[in-house]
Amino acid sequence: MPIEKYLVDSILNPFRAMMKDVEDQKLTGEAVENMRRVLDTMERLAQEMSDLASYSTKLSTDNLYLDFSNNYSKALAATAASKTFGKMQDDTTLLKQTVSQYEVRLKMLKKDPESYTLWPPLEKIIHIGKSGMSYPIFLKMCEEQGLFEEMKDGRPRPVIEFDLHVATVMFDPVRKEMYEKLLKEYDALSKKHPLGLVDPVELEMLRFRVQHEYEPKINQWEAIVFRAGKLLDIVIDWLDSFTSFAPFDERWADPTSPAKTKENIAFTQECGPGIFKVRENIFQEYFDLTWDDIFTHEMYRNEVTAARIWYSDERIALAKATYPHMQPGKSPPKELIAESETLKKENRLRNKANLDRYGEGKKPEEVFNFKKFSEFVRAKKL
Amino acid sequence: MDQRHKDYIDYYAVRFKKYEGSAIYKNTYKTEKALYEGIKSSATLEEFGEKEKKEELTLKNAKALTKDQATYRLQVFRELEEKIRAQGPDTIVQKVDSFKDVMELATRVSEIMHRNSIEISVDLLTGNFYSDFIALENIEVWEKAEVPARWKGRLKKFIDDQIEGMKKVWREVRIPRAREWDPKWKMDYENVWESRHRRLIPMKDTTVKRRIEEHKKYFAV
Repeated sequence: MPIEKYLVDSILNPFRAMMKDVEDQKLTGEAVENMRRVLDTMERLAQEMSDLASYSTKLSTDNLYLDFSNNYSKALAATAASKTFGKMQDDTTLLKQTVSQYEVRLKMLKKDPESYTLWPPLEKIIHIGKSGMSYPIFLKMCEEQGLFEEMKDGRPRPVIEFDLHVATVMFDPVRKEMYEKLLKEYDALSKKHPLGLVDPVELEMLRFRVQHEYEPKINQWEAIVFRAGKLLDIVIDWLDSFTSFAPFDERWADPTSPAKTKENIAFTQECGPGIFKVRENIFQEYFDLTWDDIFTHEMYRNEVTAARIWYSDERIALAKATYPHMQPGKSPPKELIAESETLKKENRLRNKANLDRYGEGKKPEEVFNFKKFSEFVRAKKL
Repeated sequence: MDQRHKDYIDYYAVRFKKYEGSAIYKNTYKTEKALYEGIKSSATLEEFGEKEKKEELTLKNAKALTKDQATYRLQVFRELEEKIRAQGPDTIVQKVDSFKDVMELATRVSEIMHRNSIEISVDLLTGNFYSDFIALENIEVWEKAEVPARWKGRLKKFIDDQIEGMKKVWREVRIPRAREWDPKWKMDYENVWESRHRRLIPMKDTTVKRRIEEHKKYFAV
């Protein structure tokens, strides 16, 4: 079965546009024929293959992306070959063609509102190009105003600010710190340039360097959050397995067989402590953290602030009280079981902040309150 | 000298001054300045055209820009011990002076970076090892947990299912996907210790060593 059309279109549309560009300019020659041949191969493979990842890999490993791009460059270069200083140069035609190409590019970009920050330098270049000056003065003015540089990446500061905004809204403190550092170093570089620009290669390597620095910490943070959450789940499940509501709880209830439900409950009751002990040992081996350390760790405090702790405060307190009793062959004290039953009866199992933020029926835009990039940039007038 | 010639001189002046004092674009500054001096010292634009062609000023400029950018990327990748990412810019720096024209330069640089992007993709497959840590922890838990004898069978089944499930993932997804990039690819555990991979695993060396042995034992296909 061929890959979904919309997925293939997302990959091939830029190449189809380049092919159309060449055809609209009525270019001919070997490079154009090669472009057509490669694009035909890409289209054929999209029909023959069924997996998008494999398709994309094949386009890369068979050098199809590369061949197409190289031939596109050759096709365009062939038309520019006559425009050398050796011959009489028609600046008016050069200027007209240059401005026209930028207009085409701007038109394409404007189909995507998210490319908003790339429009201003192009608009300025086109404005200068149409203001009646000569080609060399046009080139000089664009260089002086840094427009050719700016056109490569737009003004990247809004992109970094947006990344910082998302990390903040998502309560991701490590990435927040990373983007704050990136922004600070970007500003330091920008201050060195009279127009506030940062060389694209310098920015590329700055991004790489800062992300490189923070990747280990991001991985560690996520590893701790996941495993700490698991430990909490095991303790709470163990306590709840002794309650009167356990047979009706989705964690154990098997609607097809009361016997299986009973077996599931017994498994949790009898194996919970042994399983917990091994997980706790792994947690301590990995991070030099104990069960008690979880509740004072910055990771936990952040999860509370983010309202990502599903359990109510009372239930967390119950988990802490249950922990000392999690020994193989033991049961939790009756009073703790009774407390859990009360919480269930009074519908206080779930954290209210968590329910308010992530409860059933919430739409993603209500849960994660960050705008699309283009709206963010417009709102901040960046 | 006609006004058009003067205007082009001004344009080339703006270009070379852009790179003045740049720590990254030392070569580009020199070649941009050579273009400026070439056009300034010519009596006409046509004379400059001949000079530019004879001395290959545009080609030298393209090479200088390419070399400066590749040198900078190489410096950063080496500093961060990113051996595989460094290979692309390293090859460009070594070969750029041999290219005969701008089209060859553009084409060959694309090819070098494309090949390097595949090398990087293949190298990143080493990350599959850390992705399997949760599965290895599950097996350890079910093996070591102190439980009544009547539950040992169930835990053994969990272990067997986990191992078979992960072997299936490797057999049916990971290895075929990896071999789309490199037909001879197989998991290289020595690669895990390279700093670019090791730094991404937030556990101690003793743990990583142990998990490597477990991974070989349980998930090798």
